[in-house]
Amino acid sequence: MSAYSVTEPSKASKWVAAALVALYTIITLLPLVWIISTSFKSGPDSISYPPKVVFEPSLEGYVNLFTTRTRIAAEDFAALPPPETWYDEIVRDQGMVIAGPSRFGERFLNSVIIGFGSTFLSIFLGTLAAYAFSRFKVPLKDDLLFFILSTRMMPPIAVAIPIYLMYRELGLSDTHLGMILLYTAVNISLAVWLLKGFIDEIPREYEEAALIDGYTRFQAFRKVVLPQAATGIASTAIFCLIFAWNEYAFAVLLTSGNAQTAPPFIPTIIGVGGQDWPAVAAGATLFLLPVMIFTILLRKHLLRGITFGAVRK
Amino acid sequence: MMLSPAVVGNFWTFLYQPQIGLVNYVVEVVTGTPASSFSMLGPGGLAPWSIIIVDTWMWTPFVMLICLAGLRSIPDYIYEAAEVDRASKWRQFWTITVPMVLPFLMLAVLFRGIENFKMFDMVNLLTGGGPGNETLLTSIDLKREAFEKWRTGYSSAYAIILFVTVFGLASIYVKALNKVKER
Repeated sequence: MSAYSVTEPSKASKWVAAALVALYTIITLLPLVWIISTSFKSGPDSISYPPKVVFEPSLEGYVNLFTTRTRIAAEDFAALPPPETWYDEIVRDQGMVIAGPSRFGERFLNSVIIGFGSTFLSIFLGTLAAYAFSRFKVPLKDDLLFFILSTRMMPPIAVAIPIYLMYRELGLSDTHLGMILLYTAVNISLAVWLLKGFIDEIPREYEEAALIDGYTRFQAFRKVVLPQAATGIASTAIFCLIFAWNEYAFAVLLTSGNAQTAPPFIPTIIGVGGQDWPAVAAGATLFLLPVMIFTILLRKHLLRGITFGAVRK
Repeated sequence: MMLSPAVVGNFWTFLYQPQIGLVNYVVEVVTGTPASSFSMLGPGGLAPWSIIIVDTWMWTPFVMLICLAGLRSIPDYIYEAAEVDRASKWRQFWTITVPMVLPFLMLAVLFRGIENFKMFDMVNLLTGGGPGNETLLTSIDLKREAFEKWRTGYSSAYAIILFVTVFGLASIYVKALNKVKER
């Protein structure tokens, strides 16, 4: 019989496992590293072959992301006064002049407004609904819960057809309010399922004690349940925010000029002769960064969130 | 896994570029096939595989997390008991590990199945259903019918059929999953 704990693997197998995990991590991270490194490349560097691993860092991608540029005639170009700012200089080096700001800032702001708006609404409604599902006898409870979840089973395109027709009648198409309402409707299934799990974990006895002490139902909910569910609510909020932030299908079909979010905008960044890859990569980096940070903050509840509370660690 | 499939999918088109892409370069270095002799997203039958690669890359961590949760849920004493009974490692794997992780694996299949049935973002940006109709998924087809040809009635019927299919299959699957859980 072996002396070590039976569940402990041998040293050799540990090394093999570690090597495999390391290899897998490298493969997984490579595309992400490539996005970030491309965002700091100059245009020619980004499309050179073989691909450049070592390159001179440049902010060209970021400058191109936030500006629109035009080419002007050579004699006019030579007659220009020397560039005033560092970003002017980068654009001049490409043989162009800045024509104005791009719409990226606007799109990014739209993403923020719509993301936070819909998160707030879905958490507000979701908490109340989850509390009711968790504490009261609701007729056909299980069926209702499954039905709420069924909104997630349809391809977004299928849902987009009636939404498009309704929004056109109501004047909501391509507005912030319309997108906030739509994302709320999509996210509320996640919010209810997750929050119900979190509230289920709070012992009923606390509220019952509060009710005996003369609190009303609502007071008990506000003063006893809410503080205990705070971390659960916070992580649910981050999940809703990430889903709204990443949403593409509805955004690309239902928005165009006014309320377009960043995901459908980033692929349309065009440079001279095709997509301006450093600018696309810069946009992607800025867009993905908040999600990466949030994911790290969330790692405790990550699995629970993506499985709608089905797997609890 | 948590990153936007649209933004990441769009960037993969860059990695898949026929002349300059990183993927073609790696293939050339590893196998010696000239990088310009094939195109991951163009004609030649590779496009569906390109999508499979991106989807696998993106979602393996998700399945991994679920399996990890499953493995953690197995208490050590079961293995210790098996060791006392002189069960081989192989036997332990098949009679303890697999049955106890199975509900978690089935759950992963459910989630990925539903999600992949709805897959749109990445494919729309990587291939848009092309080349030709090689990667024409239901959701891409539906988008073409509804938002390019404007056949609203036809595409609404299409959508209902899709919904009933997913909903029906998911209900049956959830029943099977609950049975496995009860064992």
